[in-house]
Amino acid sequence: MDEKGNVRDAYLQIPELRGFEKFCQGRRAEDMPQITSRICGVCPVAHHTASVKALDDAFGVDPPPTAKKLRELAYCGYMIYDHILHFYFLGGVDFLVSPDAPPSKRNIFGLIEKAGLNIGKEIIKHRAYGQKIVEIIGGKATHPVHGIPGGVSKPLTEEERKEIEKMLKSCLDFARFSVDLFDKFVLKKERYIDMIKSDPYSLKTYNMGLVDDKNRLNFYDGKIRVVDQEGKEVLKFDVRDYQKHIAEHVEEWSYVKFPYLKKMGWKGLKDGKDSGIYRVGPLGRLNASDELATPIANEEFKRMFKELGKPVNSTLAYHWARLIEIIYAAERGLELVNDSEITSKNIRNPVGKPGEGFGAVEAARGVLIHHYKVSEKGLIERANFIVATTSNAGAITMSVRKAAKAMIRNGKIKEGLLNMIEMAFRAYDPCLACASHSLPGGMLLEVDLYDADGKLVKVVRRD
Amino acid sequence: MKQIVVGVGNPILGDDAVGLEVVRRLKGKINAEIKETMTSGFGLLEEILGYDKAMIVDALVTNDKKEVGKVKKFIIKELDSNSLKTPHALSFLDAIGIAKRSGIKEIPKKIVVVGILVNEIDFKERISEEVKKAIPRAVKVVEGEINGF
Repeated sequence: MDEKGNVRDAYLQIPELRGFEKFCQGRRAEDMPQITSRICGVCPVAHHTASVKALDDAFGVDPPPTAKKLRELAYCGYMIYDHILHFYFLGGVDFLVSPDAPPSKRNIFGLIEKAGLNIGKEIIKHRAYGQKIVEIIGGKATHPVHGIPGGVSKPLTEEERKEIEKMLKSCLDFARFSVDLFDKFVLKKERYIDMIKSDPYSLKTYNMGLVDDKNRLNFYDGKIRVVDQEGKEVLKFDVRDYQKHIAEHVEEWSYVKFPYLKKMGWKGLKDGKDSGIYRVGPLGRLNASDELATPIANEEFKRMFKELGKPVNSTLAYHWARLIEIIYAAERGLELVNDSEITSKNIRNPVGKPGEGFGAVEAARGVLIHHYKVSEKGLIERANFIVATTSNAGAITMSVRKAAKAMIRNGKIKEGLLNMIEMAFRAYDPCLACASHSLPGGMLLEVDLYDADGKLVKVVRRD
Repeated sequence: MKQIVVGVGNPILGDDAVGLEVVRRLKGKINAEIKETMTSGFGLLEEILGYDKAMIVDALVTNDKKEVGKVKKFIIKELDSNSLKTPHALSFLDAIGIAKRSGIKEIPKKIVVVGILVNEIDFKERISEEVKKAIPRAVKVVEGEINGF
């Protein structure tokens, strides 16, 4: 705080360990998809897939179309279960119940009270469907083992294909139901729309996402595209060039490195055109896309931008974007499962000599990059990872700062400070364990308030 | 009586893997299905749905180094978990609470957690000596619980 007791700055500290890059050195390259998927229990499919794509590249092999489609299909299942989990159990319920409700109600139990018992069952069922799709294709539920350099290890049978199709159809219905629910409980209420658009919840950063050759979102493959605060494309590059465009800034108060766009440079924790800070994840991706490749999701995409303008700068719109992506994942999955090649047995191409490899995918939380240097013997010499939550680290910190500024005036803390800070960072679905390459753990929320002389004057916490 | 024992742990996080090691030693020795998993929350809940009785074997982190290597047993009773502690993941207890309140009937009637106390969890692939010593004790606790039912 400054002399008057207003917030000068705020920091989100994540006191966890590092060391995963080092842990990977000297390992056999082909073990990387298994090892990296164990970084944390939240997005193993994303790490597995980014890793195997980096290995394709390192071994100079292009997998057959069916292998790529199977990887993408499994990926759709992952996106469905991960987004459902976040929307209904973690972040989205902030809104569905009521942002003003106490934390004991602002959760799935509050939602069941409000929307009925059946919704709980439906949520659990469809989350499990997403996981089941990964299990069928990946061989194991949480940690898939199908990805190997040059392709996948197992084809899809007709029986499995039918089972996945049935589950995806149900997921699509559920995704549409979820959007209707969001419409009814959130978008139809002017107060919430005002809140979504309000300044404390807005940031004008760059937006980043993986797009296909028509600038449409793709979770599995494509080029990395960056658009500016007006929605204009400023960069589009292959993952092989990521180091030309993305650098990482180190702050002494955090273990997390802050990635930024080299072209604009690191200007501190600031938004706007001069600052290289960008956002990834559902909102970053939709902002970076011109349209979506599937019809129902694209209608909803258009509706969101009509309502909120393009690009959307409101952090709370991450929730809406996440729902649109569940629709997209179900629709895209249905396209793939009905593809005539999907049950083909041609699922692997022979690998070449090892070298350097790069792989990028869209993790549920945003662009994920794996980069390996592989020795002649096929061992990992160097591994580097840019994970989604580190890309968002700058934006998350700024969002927390904005919320703190709005809630702390003249040394007095307004009611609801923790709620507001929590909603601001929850929207990003931060996976902080992975961001600092550490282990998953429980989390408490604590706000420490220091006066102008650096003396700790107040601690507000929730265990 | 359908029984299951699930070992929970991460094979690349040192002592966190102890739950996996315990259930590996129980394979073929007890009248229960044995599974290994690295997941928590709903993933773990789904592993045990449909069984009458479930045992979860997992590492428990303690800050008290004198406690390391102790084996503790808990019985999960009526749960009313209301606070979601992390912004990105759901605990096992939360998942059971949600499933119960949603009217899901396949939740085992008895859920027992066997925890092996550990202190340091770090990226490595071996279990420390003091935690290794706890493995036979944990195996006995599980055997006693399954056979004594």
